[in-house]
Amino acid sequence: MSGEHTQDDTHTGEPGTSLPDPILEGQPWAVDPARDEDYEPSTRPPSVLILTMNEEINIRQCLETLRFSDDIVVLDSGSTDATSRIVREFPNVRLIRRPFDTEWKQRNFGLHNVQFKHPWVYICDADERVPETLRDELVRSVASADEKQAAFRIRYKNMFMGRWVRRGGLYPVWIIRLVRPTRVTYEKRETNVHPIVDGEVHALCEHFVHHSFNAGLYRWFMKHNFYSDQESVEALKLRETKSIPVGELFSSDPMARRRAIKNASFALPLRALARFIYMYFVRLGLLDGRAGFEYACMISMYEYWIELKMRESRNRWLDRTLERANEILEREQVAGGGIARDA
Amino acid sequence: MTPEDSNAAAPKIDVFIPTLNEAKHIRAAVENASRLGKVYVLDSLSTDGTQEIAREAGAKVYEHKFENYSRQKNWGLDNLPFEGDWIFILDADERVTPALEDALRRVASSGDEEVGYFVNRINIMMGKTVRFGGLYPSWNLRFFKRGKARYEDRAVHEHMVCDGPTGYLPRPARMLHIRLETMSQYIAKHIRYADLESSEWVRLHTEPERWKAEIEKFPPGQRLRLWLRRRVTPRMPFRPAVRFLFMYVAQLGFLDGRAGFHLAMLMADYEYMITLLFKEKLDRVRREQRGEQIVD
Repeated sequence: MSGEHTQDDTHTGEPGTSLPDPILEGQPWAVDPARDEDYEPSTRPPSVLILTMNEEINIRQCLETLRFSDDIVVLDSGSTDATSRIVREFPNVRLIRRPFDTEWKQRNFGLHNVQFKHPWVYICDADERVPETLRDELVRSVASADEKQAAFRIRYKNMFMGRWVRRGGLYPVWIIRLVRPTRVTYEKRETNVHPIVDGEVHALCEHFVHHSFNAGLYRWFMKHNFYSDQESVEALKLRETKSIPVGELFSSDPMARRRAIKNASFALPLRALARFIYMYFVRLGLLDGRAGFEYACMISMYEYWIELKMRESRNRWLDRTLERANEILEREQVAGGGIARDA
Repeated sequence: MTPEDSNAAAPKIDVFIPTLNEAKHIRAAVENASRLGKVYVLDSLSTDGTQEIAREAGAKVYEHKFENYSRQKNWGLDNLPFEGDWIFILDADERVTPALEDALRRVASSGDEEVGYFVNRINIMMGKTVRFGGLYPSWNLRFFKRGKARYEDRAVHEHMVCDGPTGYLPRPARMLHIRLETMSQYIAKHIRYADLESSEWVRLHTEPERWKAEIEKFPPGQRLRLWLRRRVTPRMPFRPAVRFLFMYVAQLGFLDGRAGFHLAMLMADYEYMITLLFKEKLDRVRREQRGEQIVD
């Protein structure tokens, strides 16, 4: 449900965007690992990985909140705006370009083919901000983590119309953002990819702040049109296999539970309406004022688009439209049309 | 009279199809249109091979760089070597039915004073013919005596202007509009239109002089309607819901079954997006006017 969820809000180009070849600027993905001795005790930061695609509106403020790290990698899908120019103003940032193919490949490239100075990597999107409290917790957590720990999950505050939409946004949503890159791999999925972690996952207390509307509503609509294409493909695949893992609905892992609920929900009729009622009434989005209402409406519209696109491919709308047109043409021909020409 | 004589006497019809990247549909369109007469394709420099396919299907193909719809079609009317007495303008996703063909030939040879005719059009979408929801009947001036009609110069929603009286082709004559875009393309188009429309609304709200100038172009009788549509409608609460109910209930969209439902829903989504974009843009403009720094 990428509506309130940010896994890939930054870099998905619209399909068909032509991208330049990867630009190898001094092989910026090769870097010497830093040593613990170079840092005061318990001050060694994580590295940061940011995926971007045309983020000139967001990237500067994002990088401003990340000054605590001396090793930031911006993995760009071929932005055509001022993103790369802005990025170069920051001395602690390496810019790497790789044409976007699929989200899971791009993310895995970032984690596995790029070298980082530090053993931990914080994964960030351009429309997100790291508050000071989270900054402190990140540094503290990586300093005290033992070898069994491979990742941390974190919650976020979704900002809309100048306020945190807490209730309607289905808070808290947990996602994995602080990882040991060699022990995390993204699974193959069309969109909203999920990381598979080899090791323990612990929770962080602090939040990051997500401004998903900074780039404007126009972009939000276009992105969600694109996401709903992909979600409908995923949902249909799932429907074909017909196995809903009931056990996972009661999993103790909040992320697995959330996914199971989402997958099961594809089997329900009127998902869009159900989603609205759930967000606005059950989860009390109505207490978030107009922002809560509009947000619930927008997400429900997005759910409707997914549903519509599932119907489109399941019921072969395009084929049937052509068939219907040919039927009418043939029927009228038989019924005596075209006399004027044939006579 | 021999059949040859009667053919020689019948007025000739030329078909004019403007195209841009219609490789998927152009063959069927040209084959279908050939039933009326010679087919002239004016292509806006397609990159998907539309030209070649149209030629293979038997059309005469010309190319001209696209500026906007009305200019492109007027250029075609002025410059293509039409020979027919009448011209029919068709899009690549439209089809001529046998009943329409009969009606066109009948009015062309009737000797009536009309120099142009409005042609009804029915949409086929989501596998269904769409008869309600305000989408049918849909009249378009597409059939006219050569040299008697042109498009007015307008960027979108262009209209034809005829030099002489016009008429309507009665039922059952109609063309089929085969909607072959995917839902994704359909929604993307709505998003783009909503963006343009909301910008237009913002301009009318923030530049009152412009609004005054605009409204004075219309006769007093139409001003109230225009004022309602441009100034009041944007502020109306529950506009998307109202639009849905209007289309689905008042305009009988429910009689089209599921397709009617989805078309009304998509229209409500469209209205909703206009509302949100309008508020977002208006807010931005107002803050800029107050000289506020926009911070996130």
